Amino acid sequence: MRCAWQGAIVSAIVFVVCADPSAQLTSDREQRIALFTRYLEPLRIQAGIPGLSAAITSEGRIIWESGLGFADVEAKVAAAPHTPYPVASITKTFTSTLLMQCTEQGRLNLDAPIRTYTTTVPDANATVRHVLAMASDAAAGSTYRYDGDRFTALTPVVEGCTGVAYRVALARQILDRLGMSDSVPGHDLEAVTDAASSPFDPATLTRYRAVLTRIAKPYAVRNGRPTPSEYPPKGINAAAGLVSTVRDLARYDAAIDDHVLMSSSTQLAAWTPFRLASGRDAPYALGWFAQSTVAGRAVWHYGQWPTFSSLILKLPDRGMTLILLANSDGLSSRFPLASGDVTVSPFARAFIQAAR
Amino acid sequence: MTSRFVTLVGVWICALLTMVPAEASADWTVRPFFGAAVNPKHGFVDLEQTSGDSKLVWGAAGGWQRRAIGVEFELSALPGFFSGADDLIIDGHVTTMMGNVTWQLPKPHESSRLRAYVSGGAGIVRVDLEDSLGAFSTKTSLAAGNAGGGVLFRLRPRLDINADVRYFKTQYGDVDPAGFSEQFVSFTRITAGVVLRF
Repeated sequence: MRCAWQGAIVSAIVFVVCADPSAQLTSDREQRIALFTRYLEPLRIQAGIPGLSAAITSEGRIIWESGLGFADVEAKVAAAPHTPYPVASITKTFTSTLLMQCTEQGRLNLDAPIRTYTTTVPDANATVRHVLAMASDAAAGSTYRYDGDRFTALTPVVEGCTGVAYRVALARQILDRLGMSDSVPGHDLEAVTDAASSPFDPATLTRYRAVLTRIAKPYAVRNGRPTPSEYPPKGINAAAGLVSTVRDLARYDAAIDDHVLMSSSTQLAAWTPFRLASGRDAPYALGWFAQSTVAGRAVWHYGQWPTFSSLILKLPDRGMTLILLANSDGLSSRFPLASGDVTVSPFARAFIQAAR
Repeated sequence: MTSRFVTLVGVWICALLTMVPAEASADWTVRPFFGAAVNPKHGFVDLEQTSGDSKLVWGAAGGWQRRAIGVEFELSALPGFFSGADDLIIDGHVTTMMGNVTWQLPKPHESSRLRAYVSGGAGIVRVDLEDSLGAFSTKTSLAAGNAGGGVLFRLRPRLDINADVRYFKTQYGDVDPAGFSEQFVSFTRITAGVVLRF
């Protein structure tokens, strides 16, 4: 009789383990993510994107990557996970990382007046934090307004606290550290041939130039027809200018999750929405957008040039990230992402539904 | 918007019905038809990339005809409007509900069995779209108009065969959940059918 009871208990435990609802949820999510990857091609076409590189990470590991369409339509060069693109304003998240590293090292006070570093911000009361949070318009801290140009005021802040040029700080403290070997701190480095006048050694310059020979070609798309167009400004500052691939950005994503670049508490501070003077939370944190979704928290950033666009969407509660780079403005221009709701992007909306 | 518009359409159809006095010579007609919607365009997500592909359409119209003027109410269904060969769309159909006025042109000669007509009207187009992830699913009704014409060929005193071509276009509605465009639908419908007279 006692054996029968023991058997029943063991059976019950086995049943409970086998029927683990979290395992079922994960399986359902995997199926939805697989389904999502099939959404990308029709969305790419409808969005007017000649070439799209995409990666999805889960718990710091790339679980899917692909290139859709063409990095160079005329030469029929397929877009790939290793295709470099100007990432536009995703650069801002790197600036955030550099500044948060500075604060961790005690070399920067985010509440210091921005005037300490630059005179380009009109409000004398504006602090580094205000600029980093896109809250330095009008009376500092009173309103959120996405202003990519204003963000460039953070370039001298990074340079002040790191003691080196912005691009050097970016390369040393993030790109090199994480082995982001297909990333270049500025498209203008393609023109630098004199190593003596460059902060980078000849081997590094050679690598940068090699990467830049593979950079996706820029397109303007009208009525579904791509027309070769101009590259955006090739320099780099705190707001834009990094060239990277979805694979390298996946490394960056994993390093964020593993707290390689900063502690978890510092990262949490960077992802906490800025509280405006009115007491309302802004949709922007410190160099990242932050919001709630049906898949939990979302921290994200988009990038938009007239001929390139980008999206990095992290869902920390799901341990998942979507990274997209495109050689037209199709990921961003039609969608009012600056308002702070990532679900206006069909790419983000579908990913969030898949990861819910 | 939808209920108000349905009311307006109902009032409009009733007004049309009262425009022509009933007479013993008037005919009630029923016109089942099928055919294709060609060159369809829309402002919804196009997950199966079928925008521009011809779609099957079927439906029926019931009306009242006196001499050259008639009125009709027609219902048509486009069951696979958003669907292609893939499985990203679970359900993507369009339904049109229209009140139309038809005007039959004079016969080429008295003994002719062929008669052309022009037609136009207004109503609503209902769009039901459900995608596999539920990211862009929507159910919406859009005010719409249609205009076109066709020919009737009399087979028997109370039986015609019919060919009909109409252009349908809806208003622009809210921005679609996918965000690519404001919601709208347009297409040219080419159908064949029979007309039963009572």
